[in-house]
Amino acid sequence: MTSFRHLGTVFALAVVAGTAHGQSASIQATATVVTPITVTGTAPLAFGNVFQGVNKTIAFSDATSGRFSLTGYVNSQVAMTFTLPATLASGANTMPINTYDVRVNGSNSTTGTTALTVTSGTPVNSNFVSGSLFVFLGGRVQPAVAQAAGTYTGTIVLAAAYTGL
Amino acid sequence: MYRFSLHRSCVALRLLTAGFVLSLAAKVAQGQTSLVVRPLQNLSFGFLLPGVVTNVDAATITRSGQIQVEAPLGTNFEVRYTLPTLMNGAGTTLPVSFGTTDGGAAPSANPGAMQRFNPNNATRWTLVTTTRATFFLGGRASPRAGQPVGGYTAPIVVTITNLGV
Repeated sequence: MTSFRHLGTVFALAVVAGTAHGQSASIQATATVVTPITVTGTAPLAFGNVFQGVNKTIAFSDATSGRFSLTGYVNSQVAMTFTLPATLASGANTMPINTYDVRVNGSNSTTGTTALTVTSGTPVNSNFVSGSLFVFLGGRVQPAVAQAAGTYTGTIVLAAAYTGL
Repeated sequence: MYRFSLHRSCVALRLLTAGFVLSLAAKVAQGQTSLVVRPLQNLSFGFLLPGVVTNVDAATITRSGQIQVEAPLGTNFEVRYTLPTLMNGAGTTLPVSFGTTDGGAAPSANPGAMQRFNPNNATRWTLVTTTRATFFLGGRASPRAGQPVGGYTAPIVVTITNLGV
């Protein structure tokens, strides 16, 4: 049901101009121009040599942890979406990778980081407090007892977008 | 005689005119009703990237500019927006524009039953089955490629003229 209607021109002409009075209300148009977010993968998560049947963990603070750096608008919120592989591959052979440990910091230091609860493909929020963010990423690989020898790789993707906050 | 009669005619006409104006003014005054205008929400474009045009639809409840008009049933009124073409901030300007369907009116804060209109033109409305109407405003922000970062604002003035019942 239409609860109020747009008046036609005929009606409008029937009302005498100058006898009505106006009221004003003011609102604002607002916008914030921000710098585009940059995301750079600065170091791979490198497990080095692993042995058959022996799990190996790289902590977020280890020298060979995975690292990303991001820049964005100061004090803005950023949604980060990680794509984390469940396996590494060497040709047709695979090796499980799991137990990711993702930390974030406003400075490029593993001290004073904040842990992120990350699910692959699900955005997690953080803030560009000073315009930069540094992500440190640890994880664990689980070579099988009969794991085939070779170099195993996988791709970790970080996508970032402003939330508007 | 001729002049006299003409003079009398003129007097008579003036009297008639005065009488007409007075009676009409009285009629309008009698039909005038109280009308309240409330600003509800700014038109917020949020974060913009340089060179990227951003639209806010009038039906985007969290971003559209909103005002509310409250008056007795049957009240007729005119809505006139004074719209900016530029937002100011960061020592410069940012173009903003409004299209022919960027205005929306609904009998409540729910934009579901929104009736579109051109906010660049004055429009006239009648409250038929509700005493409140919400007017929504969308728009378009067009930051330049080299648009400096920072906050930008511009006033939007909405003038509501009570046309009586």
